[in-house]
Amino acid sequence: MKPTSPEDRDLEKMSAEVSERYRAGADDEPPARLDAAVLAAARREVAQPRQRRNWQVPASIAAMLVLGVSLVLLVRDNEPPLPSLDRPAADEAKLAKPAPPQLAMKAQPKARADFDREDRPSRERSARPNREPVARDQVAAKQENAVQENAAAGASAPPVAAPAPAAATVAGTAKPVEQEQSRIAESSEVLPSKKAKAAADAAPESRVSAQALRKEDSAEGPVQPQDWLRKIDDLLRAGKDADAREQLLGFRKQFPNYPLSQRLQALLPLDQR
Amino acid sequence: MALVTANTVPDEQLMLRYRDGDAAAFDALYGRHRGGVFRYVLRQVGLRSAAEEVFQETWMNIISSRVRYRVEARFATFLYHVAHNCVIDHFRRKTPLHLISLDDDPDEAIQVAGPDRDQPERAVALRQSAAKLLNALALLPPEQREVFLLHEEGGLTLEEIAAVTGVGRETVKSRLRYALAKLREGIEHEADVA
Repeated sequence: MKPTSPEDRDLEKMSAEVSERYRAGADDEPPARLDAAVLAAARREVAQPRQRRNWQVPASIAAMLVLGVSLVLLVRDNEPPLPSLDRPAADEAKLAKPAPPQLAMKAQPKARADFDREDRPSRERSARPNREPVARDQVAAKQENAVQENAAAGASAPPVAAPAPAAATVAGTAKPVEQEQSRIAESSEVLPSKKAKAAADAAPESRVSAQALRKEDSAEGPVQPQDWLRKIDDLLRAGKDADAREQLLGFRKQFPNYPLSQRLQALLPLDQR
Repeated sequence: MALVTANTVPDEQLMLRYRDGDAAAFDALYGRHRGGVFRYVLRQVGLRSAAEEVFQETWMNIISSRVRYRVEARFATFLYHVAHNCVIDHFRRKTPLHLISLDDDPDEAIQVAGPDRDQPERAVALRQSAAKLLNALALLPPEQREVFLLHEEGGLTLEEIAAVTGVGRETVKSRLRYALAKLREGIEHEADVA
C-alpha cells in the first residue's frame, strides 16, 4: 500500500503496528497431507492433457481424412462426364448421311433437347456414370445402320434432305443453347436445302442418334404435305421451275398417293403422276 | 514442508510456466502462498477442518483454471479472488456463519491462535498479544476482517482488495481503518483487563 495522502500515511502507520502483533501469532499452516494432495493434483492436471492429446490428434487426423476423401468422391460423381476421346463429335458428323427432310427438320430441336438434358447434371445420370460409353457405342452402331439404309435410297432422295445429326449425346464442348436457337430460327426461314446446310453445320457440335430421331417422328409426325406444296408453289411463282420440280420429285417420293393439282402434276414425269 | 521457491521468479511467470506444463513451477508457487491462503481461509471460516476443505478447493480451482490463465493482474490478486469466492461458497453451503471466540470455544481458539510452544519471554508476550489480536479479529464484522486479512496475508493494495471484494477503493480504506482501530482497541482493552 503506497501512502499518497496524510490519511493514507496514518492508515499505514496503524497497519504496521497491528501487523507486527498479528505476524507473531500467524504461524498456522496447512497440514502436510493437504500439501501432498494439492501437489499431486497439480501434477495430474499437467499429465492429463498429454494423454488426451495422444488420442485426440490421430482421431482428428483420421476424421479429416475420411471427410476429405468422401468430399472428393462426391464431387467427382457430380461432375458432368467428359466427351469420349475414342469417337470425337466431328468424326461422327462426317459419318452422318443425308436424312429425309422431315427427319432433318425435327433433328435440331431434338438435339437441343438432348443438349439441355446433358448439360444439366441429374441424380439419375450421376447414379449411372459408367453406362454412358456403352450406350453411346450402341447409338453409334444404330446410326451407322440408319446411314446405310439412307444410302440405299440416297440416289433418288431429294437434294433438300438434310444430314441427320449424329449421336444421342452432345459433346461437352457444345456451344450454348442460345447459339443453337438462333441458328435454328435462321434455318426455319430459308429453303429446305439451306436448312439442311445449317443442320450440317450443327452436326459436328451436336450428335443425335437415329433411334432418337425415330422416336421423335413417332411422337410428333412428319412434315405437313400442305406446307411443302406451298413452298413448291412459291418456287414456281418465283420462276424457279427446276428447283420446284426437284422439290416435287422429293415430295412425290415421300407422299406417293397425295393428290396434286394439275399444274403440279404437269411438272412430274408421267409414271409418277 | 520443504519447498524450493526461487524468489527471483515472479508469481505470474511461475503460473505461466505451470500453464505450459511445468509442474515444478507450481510447487514453487504453492510454497510461496500456501501459508497465507490457509490463514486467510482459516480466519474467515473459523473451523480448521472447514478451512482445510476450502483451502483445498481454492487450489483445485487454481489448478483447473491453469489452461485459461492469462496475466491480467498480480497472481496474488487472482489467487485471493479465488479464495474469496470459495469462502463465500462455503458460507452459502453452511449457514450460519461460525465465529470463533475464546470465550465460546477455547479449543477452537487455540487452533486459530496456533500451536502452543515454549517461547522466550518476549516471544511469549508477543504470542499472548497475538492471541488477543486474533480474538479481536474473530469479533470483527466479516467485511472488515476480510479486508484486514487480504491486506496482511495476501499483501494486496487497497485497489487490489477492492477488485477482489468488488467494492470501491474508498470503501476498502474505510473498512481497513475501522478494522485496525478495533484491533488496536481490542489489544489495549485486553491489556487493561489483564
